[in-house]
Amino acid sequence: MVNPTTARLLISHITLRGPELAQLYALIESQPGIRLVEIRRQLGMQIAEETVFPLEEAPLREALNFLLVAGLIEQKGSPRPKAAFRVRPRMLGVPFSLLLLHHIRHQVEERQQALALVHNRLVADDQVAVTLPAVREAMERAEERSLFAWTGEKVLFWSQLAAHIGLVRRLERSPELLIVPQPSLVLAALRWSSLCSGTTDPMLALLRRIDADLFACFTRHGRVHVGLAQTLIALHRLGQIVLTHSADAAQSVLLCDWRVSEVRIQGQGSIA
Amino acid sequence: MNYPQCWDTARVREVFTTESRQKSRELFLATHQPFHHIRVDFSKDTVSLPFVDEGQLRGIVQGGHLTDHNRLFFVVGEAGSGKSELCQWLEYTADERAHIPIHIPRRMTNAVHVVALLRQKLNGDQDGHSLRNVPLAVQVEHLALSATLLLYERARGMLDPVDRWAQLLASPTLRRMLAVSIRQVEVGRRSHRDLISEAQLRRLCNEYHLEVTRAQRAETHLAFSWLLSLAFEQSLWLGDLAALLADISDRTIRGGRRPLLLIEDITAFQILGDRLLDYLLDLTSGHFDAVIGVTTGFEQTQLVGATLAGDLTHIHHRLRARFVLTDERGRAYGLEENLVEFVRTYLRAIRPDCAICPLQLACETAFGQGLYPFTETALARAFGALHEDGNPRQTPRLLLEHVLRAVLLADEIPSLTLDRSAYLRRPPAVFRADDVDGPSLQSVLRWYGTIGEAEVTLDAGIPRHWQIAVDPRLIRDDLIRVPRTFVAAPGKVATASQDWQQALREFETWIGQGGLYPNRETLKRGIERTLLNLGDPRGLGNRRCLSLSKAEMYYARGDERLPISLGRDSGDQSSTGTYVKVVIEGKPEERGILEEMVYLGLTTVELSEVSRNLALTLDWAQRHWDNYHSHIRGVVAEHLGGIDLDHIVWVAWHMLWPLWRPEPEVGLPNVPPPDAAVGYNALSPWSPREQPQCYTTGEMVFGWHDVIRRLFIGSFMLRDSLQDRPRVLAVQSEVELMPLVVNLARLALRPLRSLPIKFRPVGHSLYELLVPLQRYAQALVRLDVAECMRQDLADLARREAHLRGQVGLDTEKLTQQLATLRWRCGELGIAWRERWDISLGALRDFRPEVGQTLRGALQETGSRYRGIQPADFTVWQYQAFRHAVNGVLRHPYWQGTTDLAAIEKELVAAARQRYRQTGRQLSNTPAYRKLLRQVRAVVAEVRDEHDANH
Repeated sequence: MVNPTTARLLISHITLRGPELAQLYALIESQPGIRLVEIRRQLGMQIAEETVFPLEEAPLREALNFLLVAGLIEQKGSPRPKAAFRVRPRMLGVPFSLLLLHHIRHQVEERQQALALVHNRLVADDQVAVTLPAVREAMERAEERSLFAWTGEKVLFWSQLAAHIGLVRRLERSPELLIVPQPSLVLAALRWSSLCSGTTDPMLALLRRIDADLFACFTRHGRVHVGLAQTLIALHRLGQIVLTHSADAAQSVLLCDWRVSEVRIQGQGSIA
Repeated sequence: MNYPQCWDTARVREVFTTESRQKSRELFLATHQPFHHIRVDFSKDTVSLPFVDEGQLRGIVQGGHLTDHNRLFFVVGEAGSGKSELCQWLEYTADERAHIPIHIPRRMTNAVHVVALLRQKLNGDQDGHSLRNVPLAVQVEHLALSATLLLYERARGMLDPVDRWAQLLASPTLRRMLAVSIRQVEVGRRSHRDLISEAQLRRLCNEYHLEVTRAQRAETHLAFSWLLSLAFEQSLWLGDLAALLADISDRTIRGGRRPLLLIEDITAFQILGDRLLDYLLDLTSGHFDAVIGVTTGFEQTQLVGATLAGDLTHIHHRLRARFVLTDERGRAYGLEENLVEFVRTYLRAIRPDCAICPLQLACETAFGQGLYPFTETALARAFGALHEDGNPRQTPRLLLEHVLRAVLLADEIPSLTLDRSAYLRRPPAVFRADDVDGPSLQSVLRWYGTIGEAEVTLDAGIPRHWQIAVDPRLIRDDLIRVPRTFVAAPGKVATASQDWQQALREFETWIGQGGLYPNRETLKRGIERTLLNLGDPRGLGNRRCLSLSKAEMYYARGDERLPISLGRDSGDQSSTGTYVKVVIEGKPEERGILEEMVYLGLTTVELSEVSRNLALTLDWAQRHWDNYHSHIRGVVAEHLGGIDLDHIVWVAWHMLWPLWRPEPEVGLPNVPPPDAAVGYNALSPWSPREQPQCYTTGEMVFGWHDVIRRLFIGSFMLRDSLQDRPRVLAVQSEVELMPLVVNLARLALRPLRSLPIKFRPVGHSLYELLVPLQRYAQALVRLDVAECMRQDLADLARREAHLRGQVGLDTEKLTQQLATLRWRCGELGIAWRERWDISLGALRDFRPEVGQTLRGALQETGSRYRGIQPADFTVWQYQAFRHAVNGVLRHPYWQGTTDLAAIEKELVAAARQRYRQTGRQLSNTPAYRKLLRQVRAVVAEVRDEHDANH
């Protein structure tokens, strides 16, 4: 088992899947300054206080380390078993999935952005269905090939984390991974983006903000990624947003074959 | 077939030209559509967005300082993507106070034209070439030698025998002729392409005995003239071109303006292109702003070899910016977004104003404002269908020439023209041909029809305008409505079914009208494939759990196929209270998605290959998955008297935990399993004598330890050692433990015998687990905790008092008495048991300090619990109490006292029996009296132990 260190790559936390991150973050957020002993206790772990790195604590330790490296939480004091933890979000009042995307996307070191770069690459190529070996191959051929050795485990971890966040869909009986974001994630992102401006922004502006701060939206040719476009259309069809087009709109986007300039989010208010 | 046309075909030819140069300035500006999306691949000036519009591009190009060195810009795009249009627009709109735009069109492919143009534009000087300092004789000599070189290199086959023609080129006669011709070219009286006339060549051939037949004369003259003109162009540029261009540049700069060179297509140039590029790439050689059009393929292949460095990177490092008009699929950026306005602008240029239209077609309602004879749908469809050489290519030129021009010049209706175009892929007909009569209407529907969820619709006004007959049954609300299909023909279908068309027809009939659906298994297969892609909805555990130790409950009714019931009287049996199925109603709005499911059922392709909108399809699938899953849970909960399956697992784990763990707080299932050697008796809080029912039924539950542990992992854990906190918090907020136990105790088990819930991978059924759980729950409910607690506390007090009495114990005497006891048992014929040795050994070894420790523990436990009213104790607290005192009660000392009491009992019983046999004689014997004394002494020694144990 790898020792906890903030020098590790985010994409190397290959044993994680996502739910553990969300629940650990929620726990620390609800109790600022919480110590590891208390975290263990609240998660039902019966581990002696003096035990430093027990094996059964490995998933918790990995999750804690990931959140620290991503800058979502901070550690006060050392060593880690005696330290206090509190959250350090760069965005307030947003669901954890958006927060996680934001922190990964804005890592200073490019290698630490790898989890976002995979999605960027697939979106730039306008991929909508892809297998994991193909993702690995794409990354090994892409500009990001020199970041580190792209292994199957890293790509698998990316796919599982991205699926948990809602950025992609994993199918249990198919080798294909669908680069089609979950409606709930896109809806939350749209709400966040529209709340950022405080005014009714055109669709293009909302997507550009999401593209800059959360996840890739545009292909290398400047078109809305087909998977995202399908989700936006689905949200419209499900009555959660209303997409419209004004002939005199200064900016518009093409969602598949549909030209759209404005979006109205139904029941706008809370992002989550 | 003619149709109403309100435009003049001559005007169409005038407006829809291949090259923008073919139009007048006014017409160009009237039909020019602004470029809104020009991709900036890189720029040495600050550009914030990846795309700029043409105005911003012009700003970048004209942004240089007057004395800046050469600034080179590439405009890259597929042929027909608008490079010329952009150059033309720059020429017309450039700020002439700061720039002199010089547009070198594609047709100017040779050096003479370009030099002439440059001089004309800058000075009005029309000198033909740059070798002004070279004597004429040397020029002629050089020209002849160049032509000889080219003859050997490039003119083989055209001028044979080559050696004889080489002699002719070296002839003084030819040189005299060339000297005259060059002078004439210099003063503009002759073209350099016509340096020698056919008559002159004939004379030369005769002179040098070159046989050229009459039939070959024209062809030979053409080849020889081409050779000379090529040599002329090459030799011309051997002069100091750089000096010439620098001179032009300097003179322009002195006038306060920069020359703006607009070369719309460098591809068209031959030698000039290379030389010019080399000059411009030498950034310090002049002060040109040069916008150079380059086709994508040329840049990637030819341009690499066109420079001195021979390296594309070398060129790109010297570029100021690179602008791209098309993506790698040949689609012009932004054209699709502006398609309608683009077309409308062109149509405006060829059609009369509607108000003065002699035809008065009133076409706007059906076709849209200013779009007749197109509609937005038809344009988008045609644009998407454009291709060239087998590759999709959406460029303005193809659109203008092969959609707009072709349609506007044709006599037949537009859709038929589009059908016949070699540049358009015919879109798939998403309706059945037998629903629509006639090829014309089918064609119109294919190009103009709006594809909806259930039908293809078309404004009835369109066929009416074109006098196409339509079956009135297809028209409703002035719309032609035809039932739609989704995919024109499923891929790889042959591998799955030979009769896929029949399967589709049956589906269409069922979804359209309802009724018996013979081929419904096909649809069900597709639905099953999609739902199982989201996970098996029959699994009732936590889907986020990753542990290999997990077990989960699942709905086991039926076989391994997912039970699906189709509605609308399809012939399926509907879902029942005990047989829960995925219910597909077959609503009209589900048509598109169900059609995808049919294709999935018919083929082996992936969902992504048949789904039109994956997000919608997955959402539909997820809703049905969730409904079915909830339905199963609901039905099972109903059978369980309202208890959810998760709650069963939760309560089972909480009932199990105190049976073997002393910790009052229920922990995670990753603790080590109970030691088989220790056994239930040593772990359980229950006493087989004092709480026999709890002890026995608890032992039954304890036997399910591993199954319950694995079920708990599968329901409430992410990993073996990491709980799924949201699920735990949810169940904690939903249920209280004791009411759940009470409900469990009240459960009627008999009807649950056939409940189809099983555990995987362990293989048991829910009923098998519920039996011990329910019995144990009943025992817990019946247990009088308060009374038990009172008795236990009283017992603790007695034991404490007993231990207090042992403070002065004479262990030596006790040892002696225990030995005598054994001897006496032998005398009376009592079989001595092996375990008595062990337990009495504990008594023998008992020391006062051990008694002190036991007493301290009893006092501590007693004081902790005596403050609480027994009536306030819960069964869980009581079990915790039992675990706390069991540490003391299970000390071997207490077993010793218990066994001693048992020995006494047996001894007395044996003695009584002998007494009855021998009458009073026995009690009068010295032996009896001695025995009685000894027994009393021993009992007195360990007094109260009998009471303590009973």
